Amino acid sequence: MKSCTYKKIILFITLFSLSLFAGQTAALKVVNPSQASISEENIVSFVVEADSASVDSVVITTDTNEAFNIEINPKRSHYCKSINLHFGQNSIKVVGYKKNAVVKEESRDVFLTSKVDKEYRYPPQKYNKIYFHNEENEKICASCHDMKVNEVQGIAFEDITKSNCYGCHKNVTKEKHGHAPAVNWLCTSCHNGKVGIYNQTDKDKTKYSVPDPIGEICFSCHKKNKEEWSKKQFHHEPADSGRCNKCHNSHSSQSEFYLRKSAWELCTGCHKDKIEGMHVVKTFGQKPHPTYGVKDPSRAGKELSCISCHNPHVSNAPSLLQSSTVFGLCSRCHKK
Amino acid sequence: MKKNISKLLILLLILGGAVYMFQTYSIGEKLGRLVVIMGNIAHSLQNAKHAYEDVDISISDDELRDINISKISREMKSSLDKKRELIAPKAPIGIKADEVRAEEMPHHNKLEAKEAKIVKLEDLPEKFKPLKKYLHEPFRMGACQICHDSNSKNPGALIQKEIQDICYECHKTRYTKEFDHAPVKDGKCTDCHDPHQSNVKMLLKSDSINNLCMSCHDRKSTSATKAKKLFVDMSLETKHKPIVEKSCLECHEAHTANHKSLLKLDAKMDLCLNCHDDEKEKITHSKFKHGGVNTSQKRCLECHDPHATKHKKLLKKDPVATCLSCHDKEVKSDEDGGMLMNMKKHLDENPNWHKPIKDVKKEGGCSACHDPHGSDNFSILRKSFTKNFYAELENKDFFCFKCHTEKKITKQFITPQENNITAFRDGNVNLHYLHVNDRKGRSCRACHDEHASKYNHLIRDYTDFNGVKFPLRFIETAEGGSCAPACHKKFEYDRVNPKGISK
Repeated sequence: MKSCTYKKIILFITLFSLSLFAGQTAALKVVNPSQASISEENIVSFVVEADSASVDSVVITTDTNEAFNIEINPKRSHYCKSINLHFGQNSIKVVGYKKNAVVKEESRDVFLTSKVDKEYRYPPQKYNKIYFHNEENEKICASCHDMKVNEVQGIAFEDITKSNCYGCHKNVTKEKHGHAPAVNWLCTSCHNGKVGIYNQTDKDKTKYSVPDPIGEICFSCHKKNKEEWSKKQFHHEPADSGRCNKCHNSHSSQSEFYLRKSAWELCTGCHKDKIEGMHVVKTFGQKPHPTYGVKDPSRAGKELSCISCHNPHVSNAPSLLQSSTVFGLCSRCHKK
Repeated sequence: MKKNISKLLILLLILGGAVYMFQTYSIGEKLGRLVVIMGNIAHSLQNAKHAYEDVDISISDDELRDINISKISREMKSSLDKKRELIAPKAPIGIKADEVRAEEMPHHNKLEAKEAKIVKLEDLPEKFKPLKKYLHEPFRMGACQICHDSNSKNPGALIQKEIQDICYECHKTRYTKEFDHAPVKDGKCTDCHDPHQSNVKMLLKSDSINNLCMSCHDRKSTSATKAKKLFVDMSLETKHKPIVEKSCLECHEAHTANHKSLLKLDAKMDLCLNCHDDEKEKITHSKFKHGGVNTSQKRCLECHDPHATKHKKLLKKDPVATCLSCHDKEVKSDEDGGMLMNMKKHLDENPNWHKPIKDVKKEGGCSACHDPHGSDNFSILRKSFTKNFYAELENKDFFCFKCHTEKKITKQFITPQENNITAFRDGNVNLHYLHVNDRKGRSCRACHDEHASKYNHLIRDYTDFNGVKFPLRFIETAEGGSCAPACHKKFEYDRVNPKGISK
């Protein structure tokens, strides 16, 4: 009889201690992003799990010394913060405080890739791509956010803030020139969860992957371009392979035509030999024809750039020139 | 020395020019072509004698025998006949009712009548006097005995019990077509005809054909429960002309006919188009046809009443209500097989209507823009328009400009005197011009709903761009407004204090 109660007590104690151990939440945990991750957008959402008993405030500091303070309250367990990124490696520190004393410190390295700059196009091998929208992560978010897609196919939101995507992703459309499907939050028209030949590795990892090449999706609205381009003789490689988003930011951009940079910077990102040296004819004054920095007479109110003479997509003229005769090309600006 | 240098310079210049010309105008290529052409000419001159050779085209007798000429001619004939069928128009549908009637008229044999006892006109009973304009031939001859009995106990009685048997004795043409007029079927000839005399042709019992018909077929005289079909109300405002100017018999037969309602031709369409040949052209030959006339059950009678109505154009209902009686649901379009919108629902939900629909009496309703009988323009529009989102509108004879001034889109800046041209302006900058006449012109329908809208100025709530509906988010203010469509972010305009959105 006695030995029986003794055993029971031991069992109880072990169970109790186990439950304590399991139930004890970490003082501070960065749920997203994971260490050494890659971001394709210039914003990353930090999701922090904090226990109000051991932490009363969390400070996120970027390597450009931007700091964000999050007050921890006992009603919530998870906190989100959007952090701006610069190209290349970003080292971001997350520090938990209790009465101004450091409780725990974590850091995350996030690499922002660029589709244009070769420098930032290929991140070092230690980095891995973030796949956020999977069942596991969404379960965590669902306590505060509605994680369902509430978009009606083919009908844009009257009030865009009603979109469930808007809350977390609103920053992608904040630039001057907004692409209609993006600024109207018709996200799933491109983020259809499918993959293309260039991003097979994304398959089944996230609900909202975009096929690469994206061309067919673009052409579903830009029908006329597809028609006209197919008739032309010469094609620019990125346009021909349907990778429109190499040059265009399909959400929003500071530059015209939703270009990722101004046209001149964008072109010279790949065609580096054209930055300096003798491009276009050398005139009597020993100066080459300008390629930037002056007004473009052929496009009122715009500045001269590569696209003044070259068609960035297709052309019937060699070198993708805008006109097939020398006279026709020059006379676009030099009228009489 | 100096002279030499200048000479050298001139020579160099000429040489340079020649090289430039050579390159730009590709003289080399042209010279090459010239050489080839000259060579060809020389070659053909040399070989001219052998250019033509005799060709053997004779056919042997055996070969001729193998060709079955009769078979060929038969085949040719059948193919020709087929062609003729295609070319020849179908026989015109003309009504030859008068000829038919002439055949039916009996010729009385006077000799036969002489044998009978003749009653002189002055001996006739008083009730027949004074004599009327038209007399039944036996009555005129005084041959009462043809119909009446003079020998029996009660003289004057009919020789036969059934009136029809007496009539058909002389009027031998029996009525044998598919449908009979009820009195004909029942043998009650004297319901309509007076057997002795009348002031109206055909010895009718009334003062005119129409009044005779209406003595039975007036809707007002009958109870509402009776079949509506057989009764007409000719007191209504709009009457079908043939009835007023001529008679019911323009369309109907009095006795018997092969078509329902004793009509001379098929009532659905053929009969109507027999007179309305201008509509016939539209209905049968236009590129886009209205299902309402072309594929409906009742064809013309789907919308029109053939006798009389309260509404213009003999429409059964008010012009808009007539259209909405079918377009109160999604209807399949004959044009492209797509579904046409539920217009009734659209009009019910959106209180601001386009003027022709709103002011039906003055503007004509739906048919102000659509031709209900068919048109060569899409959506059976009376004039051309564009289905595209982007369209050059300037100098095109588009439909909207029939009523709305073209200046609305062609004037870039608007002087205060011209302020009535458009209210869609930022200061003096015409925003219609900006939207429509710029490099990419947009169709009026991009922003305006041509039927009805919740907003003023018929601004759409959604614009359709490549199958996606984008809200315009139009907000009107006292002197302007703002839009935030898919095309651009929120832009404001103000007529008095310009916001400067010319770029």
